[in-house]
Amino acid sequence: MRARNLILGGTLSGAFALVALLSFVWTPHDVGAISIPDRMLRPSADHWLGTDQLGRDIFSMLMVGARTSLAVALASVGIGMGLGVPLGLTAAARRGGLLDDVIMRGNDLIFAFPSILIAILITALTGPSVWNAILAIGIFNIPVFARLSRGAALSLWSREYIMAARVAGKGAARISAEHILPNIANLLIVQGTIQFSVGILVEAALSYVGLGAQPPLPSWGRMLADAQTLISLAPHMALFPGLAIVLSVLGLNLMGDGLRDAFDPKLSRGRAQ
Amino acid sequence: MSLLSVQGLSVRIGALDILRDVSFEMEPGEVLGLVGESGSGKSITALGIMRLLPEVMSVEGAILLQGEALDKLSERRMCARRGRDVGMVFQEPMTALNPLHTIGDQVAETVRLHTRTGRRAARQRAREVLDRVGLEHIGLARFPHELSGGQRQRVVIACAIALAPKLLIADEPTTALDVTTQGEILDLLRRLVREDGMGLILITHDLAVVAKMADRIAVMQLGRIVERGLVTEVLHRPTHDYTRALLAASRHQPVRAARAEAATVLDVRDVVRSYPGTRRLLGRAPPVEAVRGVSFSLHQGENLGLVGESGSGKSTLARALLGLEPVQGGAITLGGQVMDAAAPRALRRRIGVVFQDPFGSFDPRWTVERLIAEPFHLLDNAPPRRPAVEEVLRSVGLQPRDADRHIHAFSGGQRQRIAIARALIIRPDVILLDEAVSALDVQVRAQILDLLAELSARFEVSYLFISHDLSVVRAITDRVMVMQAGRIVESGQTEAVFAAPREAYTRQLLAATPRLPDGIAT
Repeated sequence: MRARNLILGGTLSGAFALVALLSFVWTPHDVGAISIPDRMLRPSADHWLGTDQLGRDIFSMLMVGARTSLAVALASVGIGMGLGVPLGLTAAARRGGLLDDVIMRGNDLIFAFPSILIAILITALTGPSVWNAILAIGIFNIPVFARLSRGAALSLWSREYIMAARVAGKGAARISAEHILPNIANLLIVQGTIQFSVGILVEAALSYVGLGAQPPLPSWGRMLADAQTLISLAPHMALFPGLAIVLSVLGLNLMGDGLRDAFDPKLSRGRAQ
Repeated sequence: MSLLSVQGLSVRIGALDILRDVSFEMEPGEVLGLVGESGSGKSITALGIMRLLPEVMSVEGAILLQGEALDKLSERRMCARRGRDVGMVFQEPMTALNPLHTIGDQVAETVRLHTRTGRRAARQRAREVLDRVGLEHIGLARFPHELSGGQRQRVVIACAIALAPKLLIADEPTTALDVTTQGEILDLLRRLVREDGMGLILITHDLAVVAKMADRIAVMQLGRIVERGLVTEVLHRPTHDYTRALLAASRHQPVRAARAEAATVLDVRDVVRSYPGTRRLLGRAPPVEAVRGVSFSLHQGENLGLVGESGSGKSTLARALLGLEPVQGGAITLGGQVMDAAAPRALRRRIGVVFQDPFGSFDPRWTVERLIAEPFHLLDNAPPRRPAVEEVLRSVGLQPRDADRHIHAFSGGQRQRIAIARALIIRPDVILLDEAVSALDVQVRAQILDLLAELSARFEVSYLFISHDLSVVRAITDRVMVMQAGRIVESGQTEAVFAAPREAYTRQLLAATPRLPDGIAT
């Protein structure tokens, strides 16, 4: 069953996306509602996953936290793709030229920096916020997509159908848009899924050290940080955000693997010749 | 006792018959030519004998090698036979060798795998075998990428004959090689067969190669052997319609009208194309000159051939003619205007191109309509797309409704028709055909040549026909040029050049080209 990864991953990721969307209109409890008498309750019929040290409903916070995580990951993948892919395609179109060198060495430079530390630096300099987290994560997605699209585009540039397009007088930009981008889209989608999961992890890490989403906006990373000192009193406070991170990352990675298999013509059955 | 006896070999995938009741016998020292078009089951037969077919295929029938039933052997014992009793040579010398191992190690490995030979003795044996295949001057420590295609194929043959197998199977061993290299490799195979008395199954699509090499021939069509016998008899008196059709297609000459002298459309003067040398620690290596001062002109409606071996600069010249790359000297004029990398669209529309690979020259995601209409980009006022595409599809013998399909729905020959349609749709003055029929089966090739001849007469279009295949060039061109190491060494009327070549290089090319004997039936 080759489609198993895709189905499992897609279901998990879909569930998280659905929960995040649902949180806009409905949560079991108000996430801002503090109720000290109800603090650190175990899971029950009223509070499905229990409450935290301020008596807030953990399930509701996870729902809104999913929104934060997904939004940050989505926006940062968007930045990475939006800038990285055009850069990679440009480098491939000018392969061997000065522009190619400039773009790719610039990429190497970004790659050479430890990404989490730079993210911390950016947020430390400009103040912690969701936007800065997006920016910090997004910058490090650029070289990933630039390298991937350049490599894939290079192998296409030597194909005869690209030669035919050049004979038809088409310029590099037009060929990149019409022939190359559609033919590397599957690779980009797969890599996008993987980077999405990386984005969730980095956002959680930034929030954990207090540089991501700020209170009162719930986020999975900060819920873990809050639970840390109380782990012996209320282990459920750490367990559920942790599970949310693990399951969403797992789901996205499975989906990425599944998509890669689904897109790979070498693995698909019943292909002519 | 015969060397090899294949009895009722049938191969099936599910309900689909791939081989049906293939039977033949071979004597020691005999060369059997197994001939057929792609998909006829030639290679499947070879893999069936080696028991290398994928598991999804169900195999029936008996294979006896000197009386021993190979089909009854366990996989482990079959492994011991492969390489020792049966050797195999594949088509692509590039991929048949491991790029990370030296050629000496690869030959020695075959020896050590099957015999109790020490490392040193195996290397010595490797040296002897490489000497035998004509690589005396090549060291054991060389890597495959350091050798030419022909030398690599010799290494592959050395691996196959290292243990003096009783049977050698060569699957299109020369298809990927130049004509002179092909001649050398065929001579080598024939010498080895004579010296060792082994049997050789030579799989090929080229009847001329069989005529030159084989004692007996088996013609395959759709998984069956339709005709077999002595080569001389089958080629002179074929009994089966399919054999006759193949023979006719191999010698096919399209009917072409003679032409009056016409105006020059493409003029090439002293064109030089050089590449900067590779970067070194300090500075660069001297530049590589791929095209060194080539001059010729092409007249309206004329078919001009350009022949030469790989590395002679044909394709480099082609890219320069298409205005894809700059030239470093001389000038290309198309219809009186200078064609270079900065040529305007109005000039570019006067030249079209058809490439060799019917599988790689189309974007798999586009419909045929969009693919064929791509050169409309060169026109300022493009006509409505759909009617133009339908018309040109009819011109190349396809259906108007084919415009809505994707390229994977078409066979190799149909794809080449689509490629011609793409070149033709803007009615260029010149179409450059870069090995345009080299990848096609003989019957399809004959059809495409007919189509090209018809279109040339109808639309007054000139062809520059680039190929390494001399027989094809002879069939379709008025004039021919022979290119060697970046220079045109001989040119003239095609028949005159082929009948009485002046240059030694041309004579060498012609002598190496396998030809069907004269006086065979058609």
